[in-house]
Amino acid sequence: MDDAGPLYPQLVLEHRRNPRNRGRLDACTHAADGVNPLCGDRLRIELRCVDGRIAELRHSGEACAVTVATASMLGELVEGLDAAAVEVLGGRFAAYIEGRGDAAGLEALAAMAGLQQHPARRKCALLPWATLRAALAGSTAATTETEIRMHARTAIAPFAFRAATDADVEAVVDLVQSAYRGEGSKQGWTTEADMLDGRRTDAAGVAALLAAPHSKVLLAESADGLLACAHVERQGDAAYFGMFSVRPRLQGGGIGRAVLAEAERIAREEWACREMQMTVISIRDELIAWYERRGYRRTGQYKPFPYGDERFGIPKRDDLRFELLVKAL
Amino acid sequence: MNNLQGHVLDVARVREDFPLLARTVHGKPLVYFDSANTAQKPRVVIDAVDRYYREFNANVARAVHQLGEEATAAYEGARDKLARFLGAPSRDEIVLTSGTTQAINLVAYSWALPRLRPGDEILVTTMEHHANIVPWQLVCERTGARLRVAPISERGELVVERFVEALTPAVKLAAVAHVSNVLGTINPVAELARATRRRGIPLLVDGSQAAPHLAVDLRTLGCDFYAMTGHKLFGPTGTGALWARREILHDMPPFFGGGEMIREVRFEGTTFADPPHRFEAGTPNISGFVGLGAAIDYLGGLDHAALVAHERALLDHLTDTLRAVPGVRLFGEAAHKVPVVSFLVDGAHAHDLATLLDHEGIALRSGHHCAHPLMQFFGVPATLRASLAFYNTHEEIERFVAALARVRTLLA
Ligand SMILES: Cc1ncc(COP(=O)(O)O)c(C=O)c1O
Repeated sequence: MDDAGPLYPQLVLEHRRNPRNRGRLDACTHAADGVNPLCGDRLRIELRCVDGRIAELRHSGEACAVTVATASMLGELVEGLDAAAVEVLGGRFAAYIEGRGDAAGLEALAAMAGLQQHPARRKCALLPWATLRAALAGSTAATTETEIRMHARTAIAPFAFRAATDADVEAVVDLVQSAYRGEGSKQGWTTEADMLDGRRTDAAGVAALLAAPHSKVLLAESADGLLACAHVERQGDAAYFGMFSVRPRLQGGGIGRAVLAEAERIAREEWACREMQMTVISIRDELIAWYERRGYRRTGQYKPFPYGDERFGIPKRDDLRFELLVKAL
Repeated sequence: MNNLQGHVLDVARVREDFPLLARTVHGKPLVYFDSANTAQKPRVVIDAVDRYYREFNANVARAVHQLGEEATAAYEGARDKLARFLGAPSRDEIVLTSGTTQAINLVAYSWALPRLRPGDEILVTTMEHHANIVPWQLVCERTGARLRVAPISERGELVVERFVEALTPAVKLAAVAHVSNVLGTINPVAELARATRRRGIPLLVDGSQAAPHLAVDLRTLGCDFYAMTGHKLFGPTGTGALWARREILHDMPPFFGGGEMIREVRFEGTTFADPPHRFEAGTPNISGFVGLGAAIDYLGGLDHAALVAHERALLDHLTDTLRAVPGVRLFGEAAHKVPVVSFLVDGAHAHDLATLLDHEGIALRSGHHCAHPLMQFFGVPATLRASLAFYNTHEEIERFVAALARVRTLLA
């Protein structure tokens, strides 16, 4: 029988029969166990990273052909890449199998196109990606169910939202700084430490946002204190989203998503805005991919970076500019 | 089986009653082996739902106009039919629900929650569906009671002695599947009920998978609660029932509040209707129950002995053929079974086989079948399950086994 249906082209069957990079590493720097609750499949990914880049990857575990073939192809693809690049490719792969993007850069994984017609099996292909990302993030466990659960090191306590007041200015400045600048920010993936030094914002900047009309600084707090913040401001029919910061060690755990969703809710329900806008440093592909997964669209409209204004930091490179992202609410 | 001789089901005729069975999938004639998941519907059911909306759509028990009378008669008629179908002593003991899950949750919240105390126990078995596990776990969490599990054998049969031993005075409720959705095992409910009755322990039976295959007779079963779901019984989704003894229902407080379930409402307090309406707040799934009534009538028009004989032959054929395939492992080889067969094939993942078989037009289920503890018992994450109904044929079994052999080579 030649025709095994769209999910099992020859290349997939071949990778399943002879998976590349199958097995374990004698010495690994990162490892995670992933589970797909749909079928109970388990996949282990072990990595040896050098200078933040994947030097070796091995996968092991009992899983279906879709999972094994994806792990096999993915292992070949990500060698030499760092976490940010994996994030970009992972986002592209997820979009591709949902039929929302092309296979550019995905190489052999283009063979997983059949998943566009088999939504029920997509998680099988996402398991290796979720496991790899968990390993890179320093977690030991992953699931295809969402990034929210099971982050072993970064379990999140229940949190609540409120609007910041003048009393919160210092805490907000510290949080924003910790998420974007300096060595500490490198524990999370929103870091700009390699692009910018200096400050991201200051007390006067935050106080100005609090004083402005139709402007809110949204805080997510748990018993442990401030976890995340963001600024939302109404500008006519649209709302503007900025100063988005999550404590570095909690990143990748789903808080950011919740903050973004709450900001969108405020804009839509409280201000009746039709669109959310934001500007992102245009070379931050992985960050833009994160927003794209949440429905934002690149516009190709750019704004210059305020070179010379040290309130926004001290650039380490000269090609920075902002791109406008938008989402209909 | 001697008494079944001479009863022959005209399967070709029966299949014509089920329009969906005539369709193709991926260009191949459909082989539908997933009836334990949800059964296909005969034309009379589809027509009854359609006719309700075209000819007498109205709310029930509220309208005095002609349409309301007709809708109420059809809806309440379904209750009568269910009562007769299940052999219930009284129609007033049939609470209409959205399915088994709601029926069991009704017992959990309205009967068990107010009664159970720390140290009390609820006894279930290893082969339960999550719908007969999770509600009890929620009750245990809130009351401090504990869930106990009666074991099964490797053949997939309940170990009756161990079940009976576990019926200590701490046990306040036992909850058992009449038929396992994964293994097809028919549990000896009447025997279990004798043991629970002797000890004064109420027995709940999850009849989801029994009603489509067996002649259920509540009078002889001797249990105290019986839950069932309509969509597996060839009726529409969102229909089902809880049967419970009258005195038990009378002692149960309402679960949902709203219209239809009251006698008198004042802001100082409300008095509730008698069972079963006490448990049926709000506008029910009227069209669904009209359809379920039609499904029960349809089943009543078939020769049940012929149906049982045909299903028995299908089960034997499927089991014997699969057992003969090298590398196939069967799960559940109980002496008394309905035509449900779970299996795995060496070296091939259940989901891959299910997708490949689907491409051959064969629909069966792969996964844990909402029975994690049972999967853990067998030490596997998932199985494939072929679940048949009386509308399936021997030829379909041959096609399935041939396709299985073909797709297996792809994964070898
Ligand atoms: C044994 C058993 N119990 C309970 C259920 C739940 O039925 P429903 O989803 O119709 O409420 C099912 C069906 O999936 C079942 O097979």
